[in-house]
Amino acid sequence: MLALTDVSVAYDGVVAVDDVSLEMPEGSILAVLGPSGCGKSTLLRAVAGLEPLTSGSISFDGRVVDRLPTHKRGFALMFQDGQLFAHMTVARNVGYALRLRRRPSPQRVDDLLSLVGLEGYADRLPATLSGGERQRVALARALAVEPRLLLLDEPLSALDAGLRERLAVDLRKILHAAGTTALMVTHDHDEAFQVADQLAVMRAGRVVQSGAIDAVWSAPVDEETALFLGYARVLSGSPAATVLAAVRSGCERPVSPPSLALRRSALVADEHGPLIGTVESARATPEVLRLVVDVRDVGLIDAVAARDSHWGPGQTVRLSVDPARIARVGKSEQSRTTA
Amino acid sequence: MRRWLTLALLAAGPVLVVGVFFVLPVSGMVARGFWADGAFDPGGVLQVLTRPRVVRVAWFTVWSAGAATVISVLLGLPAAFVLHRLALPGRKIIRAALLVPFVLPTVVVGVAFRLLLGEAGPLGFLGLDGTPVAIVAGLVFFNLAVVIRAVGAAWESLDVRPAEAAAALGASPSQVWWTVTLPALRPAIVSAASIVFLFCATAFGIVLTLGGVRYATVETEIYLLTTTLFDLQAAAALSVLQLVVVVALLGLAARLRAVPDPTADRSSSRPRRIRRGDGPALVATALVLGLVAAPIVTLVLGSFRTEAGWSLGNYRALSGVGSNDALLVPVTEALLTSVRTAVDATWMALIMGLAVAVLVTRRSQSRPERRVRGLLDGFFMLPLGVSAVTLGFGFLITLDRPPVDLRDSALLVPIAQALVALPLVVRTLVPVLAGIDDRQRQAAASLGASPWRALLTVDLPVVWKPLLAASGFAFAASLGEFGATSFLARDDNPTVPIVIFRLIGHPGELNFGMALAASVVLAGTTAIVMLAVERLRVPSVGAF
Amino acid sequence: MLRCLRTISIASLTLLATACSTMGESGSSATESSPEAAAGSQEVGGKVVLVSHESFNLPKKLVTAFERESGIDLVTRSAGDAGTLTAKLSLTKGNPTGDLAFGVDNTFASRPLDEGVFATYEPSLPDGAAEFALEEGADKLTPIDVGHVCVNVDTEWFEKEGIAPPETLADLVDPTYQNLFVTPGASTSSPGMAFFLSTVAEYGDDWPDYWTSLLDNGAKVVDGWEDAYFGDFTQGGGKGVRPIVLSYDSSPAFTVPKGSAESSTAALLDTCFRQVEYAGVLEGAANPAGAEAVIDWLLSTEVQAALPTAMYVFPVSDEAEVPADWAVHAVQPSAPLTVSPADIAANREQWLTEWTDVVTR
Repeated sequence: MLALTDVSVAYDGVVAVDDVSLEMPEGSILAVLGPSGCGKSTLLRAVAGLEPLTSGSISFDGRVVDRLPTHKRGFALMFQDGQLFAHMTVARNVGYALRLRRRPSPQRVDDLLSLVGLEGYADRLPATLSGGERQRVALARALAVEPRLLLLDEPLSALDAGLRERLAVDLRKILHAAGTTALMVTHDHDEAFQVADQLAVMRAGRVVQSGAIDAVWSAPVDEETALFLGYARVLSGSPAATVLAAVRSGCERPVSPPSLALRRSALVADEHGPLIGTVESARATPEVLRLVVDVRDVGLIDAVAARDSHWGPGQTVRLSVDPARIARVGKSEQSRTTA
Repeated sequence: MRRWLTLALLAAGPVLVVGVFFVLPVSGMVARGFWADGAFDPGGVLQVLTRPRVVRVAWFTVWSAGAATVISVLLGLPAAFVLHRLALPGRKIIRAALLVPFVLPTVVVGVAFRLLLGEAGPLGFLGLDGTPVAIVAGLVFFNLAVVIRAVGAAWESLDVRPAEAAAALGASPSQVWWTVTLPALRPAIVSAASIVFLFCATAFGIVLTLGGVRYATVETEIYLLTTTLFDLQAAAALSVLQLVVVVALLGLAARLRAVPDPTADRSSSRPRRIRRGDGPALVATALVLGLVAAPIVTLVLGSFRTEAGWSLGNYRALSGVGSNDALLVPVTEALLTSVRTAVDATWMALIMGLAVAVLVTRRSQSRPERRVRGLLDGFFMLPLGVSAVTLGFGFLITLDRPPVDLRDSALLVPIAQALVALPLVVRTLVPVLAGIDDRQRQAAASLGASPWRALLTVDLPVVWKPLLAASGFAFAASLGEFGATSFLARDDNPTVPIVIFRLIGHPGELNFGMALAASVVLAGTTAIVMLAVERLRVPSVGAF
Repeated sequence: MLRCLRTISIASLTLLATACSTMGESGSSATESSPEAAAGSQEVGGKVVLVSHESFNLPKKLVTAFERESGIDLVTRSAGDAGTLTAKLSLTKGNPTGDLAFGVDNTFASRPLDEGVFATYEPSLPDGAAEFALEEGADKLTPIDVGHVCVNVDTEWFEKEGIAPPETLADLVDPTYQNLFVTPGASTSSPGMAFFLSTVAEYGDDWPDYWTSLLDNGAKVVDGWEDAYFGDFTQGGGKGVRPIVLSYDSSPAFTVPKGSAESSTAALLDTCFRQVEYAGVLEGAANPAGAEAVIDWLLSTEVQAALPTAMYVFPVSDEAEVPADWAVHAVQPSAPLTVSPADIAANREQWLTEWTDVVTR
């Protein structure tokens, strides 16, 4: 199990990682989610041993690894762009770590290549591969020696959307199949949700929230975190109370309501819905009709309607609230816990 | 067809210059040997190559140049790492200072080494004076800078992430070096090694001075055969041998240098802090600095020693003509001539070098085209590998009739120096131009830019700094050029190396002191020019 | 410095644009040197190009005076040593790079004479000069100066050590003088060749034995005279440790310490080989008349008297006075060793090959 205790990293006096503590159990996949420049890659490099710690310590299975050089930590790092060795074939890239340990195994290389779906690519040079293929090779290379911990730096962000989604599912499957403990950093919440089961949200060098992915998801610690997790709007005060009242239809409005984070599909057009508003705009997407509605007592807010319904600006619409698509924002008993 | 025309136009200038000032003279001189006594006699020339002495000389040349190359690379690699990768205080100044030996006149280096290694010198107890070890040490002294600069520049722009990826996969530092860093540096190392080998194999003054008469190389043997024995046949045989070896070497180097994908992401990574693991590299660098500094310190100390004890007397004397009028012109005037000549040589080398570099880096559309470009690339390296004696005498016998009666022209000196500097310029620019993704030019063209305009928008912004750097390099190289210049310079316009040679050749303590002082001034000028180049922060300078 | 470099690069760009060269101002003679410029006049006057070796050097004042009086524009081209000069002359025979040559000495004279490099010209020689004329080729080559290559000793050193300095070539193989002698090599240095010839003159065909003993006695053979004198000789200003060196008969005149009346070195007059330097009009010269006038001038008393200071050699003319310190400290041998130019030409290659074998053994 990996444990980070009060870890800080600074470059020339500028703090990039600030007092971060995290724990992750064996076999879990933790995603560190944050905007670019938040220090998540530095954190990853520090775990890999590529950046010296300014303070704090990192331990694995109870042993402090701070002074251990990168190559002795037994972790494998997979870079954002793969970083395949351009002068080696695919097979030699994958077998690299095996050769380092003087136990080359063509069989294992073949197995890994089929694990990542690249049978028959053994003799190709990296320059001839597509972006997705390179990432797969990099993954196979990282998995070759069964690392105690796999570190993934934005493993999918260089890829196009369709490929990213497919590879994310594959990645999760492959990691679970191999039983690998993995720490992944990403700025993309979809990627995080698709691959990881634990989540840590980082901002300006600090971990602002961490926990099981659903727990974090359903209770973002603050407005910024909520927005970063993909919530479209955060309401507080009277508008929040109005929405909350609509969820517990019939109940009276709470006196001091929490802030509420709403996904874009939290309000649904429903002729029996408790909320009433005026359609400002409507836009068709392949699955739903997306509306922007000026809701009484709430203000402008996103809503969805059935794909085959017809809504236009100026029309009055009734809306109901999907409780699964809203989240309380703020401290709750579920946040700050570690799984 | 248009492509071929452009290629021909670009090639025309440099090919003409190298043709007239290199190929013509050398082949003229070699022809004299083949047509011994009026009859074509290739057999006689081949016969020469079986003489035991010639075999011995050839073997010694290959052996000493090979040893010097290997040692230069082995010592240069850790120094390149320390000086280009680590945050060592004062590294810029050290890097500039390391180039000084490269431009010091061989006579001076010879004297400095002998002061050091001679029987009474501080290192006299080693008993190295006049041994092959001294020759190899001298060659290494001259050429370390080439390795450090070329490899250091490549190393500086090397992406660190593959190495980190390897370390993260469990590779120890030495495994990272062998499996990732070394393969990435290989083109730069091969280039540097091949240039060093050429320099070593054609070294003249340093071998004569440090080896005495006991050790002859092909180059000194050609000199002896031509000037003392007048055995042109044997000299021609050795020149041809030299040429064949050089061509073979260049071919081999080109093959070893080839990488599947020359397009480089030039990331100039920040030098990192010194760690405990850098100890061996730091020690090796200190050794390198010691090797380079010792003769220079000897030189500087000597320049301050006068009859009246320690003083600046030798420096003050530089505005005069030495004791007993040893010189026709004061050293200060010679310095002006040197600078003027070097400026001329520099712009000539730059124009030619730029044309050649553009020429050889353009993407070829067909196999023959690629072959022609490859051949041209090697062709312009040839002047480095051929005897200055053969070339000098060749000038006299081939450029003697209109339209090329240039034996007397004042332009010969800068032209000859430009030929020597040309490979340096080409090797500096080629990696940079080759690193430009051709799609950028295509993008410019697709937006309506003419090829010339595309050159201005895409290539120029990338290349202007290396170009300035190359000009500094060419300038320094021509400041220190001695071999060809001594043959061609006119005594009313001597350059500083020639003046130093004259001063050393005249008895008198003042003259000796002045020679040392003039050497220090020359070395200082060079160091300042190189420091200016260093300030341009061009990552690829000298990436041969 | 950065700005300076920029200036330079801008300057070179400007040069590029105007396609002119900075050598334009310094090398004005590049255009003047066309043969036509001189060929017009067959009388004395016009331009005369003197080809020489790198040691050629005459006071500017003398040259200017000569040019004013004769109307000749004298241009000198000097490069390389005597061997290089000779090779150059032979290679450009018939289409020479100048009108006359100075600096071919008696060890190199045969070859260019045989090849017909020189045209006939026999000036009237000043008193004493005839002694130095060649036996064959006196009609083509005119003696100008004479010097002797002699073994020199550091008298101060020998006095301090309480040892008598050597006197003859034979002394140099005496164990008393073990590891004390340094000489430039015959294959790489013209004084070195002269020393070798003096051993040939002294020992004839037995010279290899002498050289073997010499080397066995610790003689050091270096590349050039500079190396030997400045690098290894105790009085060379450097840090040499050898008190016996091969140099010239004039060298002691340069080692007189300040405020002292005596030189700290001496030439051994029984070890000297005579080197005479000649001048000659080149066959195919553009301005032969001018060339002849220059040779006459080189024989004039003013030039002859200037030779010691300018080129460290003695005049061939008895009329020229040598400088005072030369008169005292530089003594010429009365009976120097010689080998005939024809013998040298015939045997040079074989001698050098054998010599190299002995030395590198």
